[in-house]
Amino acid sequence: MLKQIRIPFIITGIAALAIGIVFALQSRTKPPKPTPTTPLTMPASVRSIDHMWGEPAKAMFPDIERPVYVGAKEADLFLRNDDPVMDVVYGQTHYIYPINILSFHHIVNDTIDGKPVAVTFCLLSDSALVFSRQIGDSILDIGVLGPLYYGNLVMYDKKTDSYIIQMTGEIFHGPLSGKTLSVEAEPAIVAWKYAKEGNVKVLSPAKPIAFYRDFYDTRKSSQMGLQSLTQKGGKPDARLDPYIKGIGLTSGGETAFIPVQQVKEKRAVSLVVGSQKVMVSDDTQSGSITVTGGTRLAYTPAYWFSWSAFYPQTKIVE
Amino acid sequence: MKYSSARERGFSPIFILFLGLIIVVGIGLVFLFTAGPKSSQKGASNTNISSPSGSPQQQTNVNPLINSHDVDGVKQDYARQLQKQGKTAPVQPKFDYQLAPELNNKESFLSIRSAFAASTCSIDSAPSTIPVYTLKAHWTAKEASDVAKEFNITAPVASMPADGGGFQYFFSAPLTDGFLSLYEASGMYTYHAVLHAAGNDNGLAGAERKSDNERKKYGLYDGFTKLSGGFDASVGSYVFNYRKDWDLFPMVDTNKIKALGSGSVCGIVSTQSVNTATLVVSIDDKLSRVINDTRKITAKKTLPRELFTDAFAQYHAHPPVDPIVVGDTIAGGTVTIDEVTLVWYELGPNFAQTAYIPMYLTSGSVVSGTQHARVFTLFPAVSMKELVKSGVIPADEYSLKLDTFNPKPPKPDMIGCPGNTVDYTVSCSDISGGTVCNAFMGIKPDDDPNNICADGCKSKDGTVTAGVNEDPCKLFLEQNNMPTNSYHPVNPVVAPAGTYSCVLNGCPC
Repeated sequence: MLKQIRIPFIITGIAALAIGIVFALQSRTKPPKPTPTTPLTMPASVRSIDHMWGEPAKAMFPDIERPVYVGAKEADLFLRNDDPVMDVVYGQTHYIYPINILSFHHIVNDTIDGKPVAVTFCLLSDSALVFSRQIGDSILDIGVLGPLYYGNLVMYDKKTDSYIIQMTGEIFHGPLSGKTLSVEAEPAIVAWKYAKEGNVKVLSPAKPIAFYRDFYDTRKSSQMGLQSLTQKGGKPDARLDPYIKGIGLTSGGETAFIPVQQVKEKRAVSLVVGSQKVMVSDDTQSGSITVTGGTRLAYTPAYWFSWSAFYPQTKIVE
Repeated sequence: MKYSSARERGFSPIFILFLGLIIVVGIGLVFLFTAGPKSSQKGASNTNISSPSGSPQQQTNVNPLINSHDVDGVKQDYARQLQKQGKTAPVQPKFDYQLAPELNNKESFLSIRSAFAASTCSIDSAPSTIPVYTLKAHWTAKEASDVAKEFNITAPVASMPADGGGFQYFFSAPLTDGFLSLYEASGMYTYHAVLHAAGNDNGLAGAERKSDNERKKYGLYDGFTKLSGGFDASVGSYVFNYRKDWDLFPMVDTNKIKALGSGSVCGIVSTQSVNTATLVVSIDDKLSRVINDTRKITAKKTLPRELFTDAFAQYHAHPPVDPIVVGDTIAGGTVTIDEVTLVWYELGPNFAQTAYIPMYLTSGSVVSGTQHARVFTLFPAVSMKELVKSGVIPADEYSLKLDTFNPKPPKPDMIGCPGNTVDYTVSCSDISGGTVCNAFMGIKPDDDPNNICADGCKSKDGTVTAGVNEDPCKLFLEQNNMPTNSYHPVNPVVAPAGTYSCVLNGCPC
């Protein structure tokens, strides 16, 4: 009798074990597809138009609405090996955005693989994020507003005149206020010489490249960013030097900041952000910092003064 | 078969004890002999080695180049993650090494020379002592100011964060609407004046004369060779590239080594991206840029060269620089080194390297199944102990490859606009909304009536009345008390007289 009772338990146990093994194998062989990530944000009501430094000066820095891409060979005619570029991977294609071009235009509105995206870069806070331009059924057309918010780029939707913070994707003013852009992809910043191999599409300059070089060289200091924070009553977080460059990460309601110097010294740092196990590594071959591991994770390079102003509770990975 | 005990055979207890002692000693000797060569392979420890100068050097058990961080597991995990993203995973190889028979003769320096002659590039003629160059790292504000003065810049020192970490000293250059920035860590600097793309073209020869004269002023002439020079359309100016030459051996970096591909190390030449200087001269012979990427040499020490076989024995278990693999992706196995040459390599943390030291650059082959690869590895050619002892590198310098750069806080803060420039755009449109003029311009902060640097972006709009073919943008600038010397319309305005709507935007960044 006891033996008869045991048999179903044993069969059930074996079946459960088999299912477990199958699931485990599947999870090993098929990595979960990354889903668009919404950065952690504070309530939109906390953001105020009063915190903006400067007044709107739209069209001062025109975004790129119809980007033209060229191949690596042609790009070599206007890029130098050590020019920093933003490398965004879609499928097997690397979309390359030269930083000196982006530092002027700030935003590229594009549709890649059928997805409306905005590739964004803020020279003063060093933040590089690729957003989805879709909110519900609406496709946003994003431009540069002009003012700074805690040293960071303020963008706006040209259709609704809604204002957006680049570092967080928060829409804090206008008809779309309270909504947040989702992060579509995380770019890597590398030197052109490390990005030119493989299937690449490179953003072509809309002006003579000398103009962009001059613009980038002349304005890459970030002091103005900190100035915009302090003039609006902000105080830089004293835990680190304001100009420390790092990687800011957000996931599951938590944020973390890792100074680049830490990563370079240790070569690789493991940490947990919002229950996501993440590894931040120094790719010594390309000189870039790489973040891997999280499936619901957003991250960006950033200066400490700007990152900590948006995320005062952020932990620092020492 | 019946076995009998020793006692039964008639052996005395003393004999048995003696026999046991012999067996124990024998086993001990076997262990001693088998363990000995392994330990000497790993660190070449406790062995007397001969330097080319003939003086023996006592090696220690501690290899000052070995870094204790074990990140192999992390690297592999990282590589898997990258592959999932469709990116090329950097290979982090871990090899064993052996020397090809012709490189393995260690009887004496002379016999090695003859053995090397057939296959080892320039080692055959390499001297027994080699100079090592100490580099100046971590420049003070006073030293940076002295450089600025060479460019007639007397502005107070400020600072800005540097790409890759640390900071740069920053000096505004009002006379040229530019600046000079100097890396605190390395002393490399950029003098930047606003590009002049207008004026008479005085030609390449005139521009080169100007470049040479300027190089002499800034210590970038003697010992430099020209790499390239000519008109660069991307900057609308003449660009000249130079490199400082080094005696004896080529100066290489990892990119240069990688570029060898399957080629011989014997033909390697100095990389063109190290110790370079670039000057940009406008078509009307104005100096627009001086980019000095050379390092200041503070001392030269001549040290005995270690034999390659000794350097190999010391470092082959933990090469101080990651090996460079070309060919198939192979991350392990035994590399058979079949070529070696001497090169110079930067020693010390990134950005603030402390010395140029000679290293043996080796090339070897590795096979894994059907895959083949060539592996390039670097071994120091002078004793690291000697480098520490002679003060070339600090005693706590552990690694050739890791960035241990320790940036100092960037102080004092810079006041005003970065790059000493305020950006404006002005555009005007006709009654139908068609743009008749549109320009981007930079002006000096002191000339800015809107105080953009202090207050942030501003925008003004309004109307102007212009005559036939008169430029409404220029009129609008004048109407707003804006300086017009930086205004350069791309095309002359061709438009009828009338009223135009204009907008003026100003931003500091």
